[in-house]
Amino acid sequence: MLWRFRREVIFIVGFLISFVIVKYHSVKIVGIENQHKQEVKIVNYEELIAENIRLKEILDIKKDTSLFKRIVVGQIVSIKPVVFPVEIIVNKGIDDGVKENMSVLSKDMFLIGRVTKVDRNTASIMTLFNTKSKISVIIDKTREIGVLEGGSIPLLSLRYIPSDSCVKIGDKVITSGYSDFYPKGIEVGEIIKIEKSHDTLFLKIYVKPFSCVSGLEEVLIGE
Amino acid sequence: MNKKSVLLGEQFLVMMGLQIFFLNYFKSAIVPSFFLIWLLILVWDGNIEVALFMAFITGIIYDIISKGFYGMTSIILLVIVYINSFLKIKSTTGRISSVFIFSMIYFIMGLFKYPEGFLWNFTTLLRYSLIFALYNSVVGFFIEVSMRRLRLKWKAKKDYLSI
Repeated sequence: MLWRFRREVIFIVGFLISFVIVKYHSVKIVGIENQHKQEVKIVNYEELIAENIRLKEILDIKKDTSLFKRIVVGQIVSIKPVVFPVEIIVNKGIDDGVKENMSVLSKDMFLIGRVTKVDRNTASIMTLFNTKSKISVIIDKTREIGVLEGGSIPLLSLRYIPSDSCVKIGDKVITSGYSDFYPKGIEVGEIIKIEKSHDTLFLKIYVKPFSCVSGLEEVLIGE
Repeated sequence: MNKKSVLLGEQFLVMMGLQIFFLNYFKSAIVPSFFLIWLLILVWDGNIEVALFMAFITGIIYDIISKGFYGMTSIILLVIVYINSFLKIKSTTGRISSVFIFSMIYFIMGLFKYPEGFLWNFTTLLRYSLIFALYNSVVGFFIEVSMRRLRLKWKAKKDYLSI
């Protein structure tokens, strides 16, 4: 009887196991990493030196920054999808003082996104590329306010900039500070494309984010 | 261990090698999925149970090597292999078309998150899924042709093992 439905049985069993893994993956990843750190005695020194340099750079930034009261450094444990990630999981959570809606930056202090969900040891981050990501920004030179939206990979679309604006290609975009999530002045990206449309009062502007999310290993979580 | 298992193991290692190589050295944002193509061909050649089992294993491996969400790719591959197991496609054209369609489904499913919905907007999703499907179709064509040649060789040697 069971042999007759072996295809269905393998499918259901595989599906359920995968579902359980997805459900608890973040906890498992952190668990494995912590265990790994305790057990492994032989280390890759080149990797250690590279990590040391990166963390030193982050420490220097932490000393200089005046944008945040407190900064937590988190290591990325998982990204989704591999190209132009829309969601990142880091190994810092409630126990490390991470809270929902904290800003997330790269080590060069460019905006990456914000924390959307926090567990005890992990935090989920929504990046700028996410369709749900909407950030209030200012164009550095013209001081015009717009909303930066994700979804149009690999660029971000800047909305509500009037068609008579003096905005130019190459102008920087920074956070406005009007939203509850991000303090004023964080660099987000630069304008690389401007399109004028006759049927709307606004320009169609595309912004290239400064932060290269795909190549990141550590992020700064600021409050 | 019988010869069929050895041949399947060899194919799996080749696909894994290619997947790792392309993930690390292919200078493109979109990388073809060798695992998906191989699993589809496995099903069409009658190895349904093996393909379902390997869908789970390769999914986990893919998530590990690509630093993805563990288990996510397994779910998608299992669903695709299961649906595909009801199709009986023999012609090369039919198989390549199916690789194209399933690749699009695979890519789109990978960017769906319950209850938020799709993580990219529709136009971007469509554009990148088309590129991904196109890459996979080209790769699928070469894999299918080379596997057909191998099958003929084995047939000639009377050592054909329904691979």
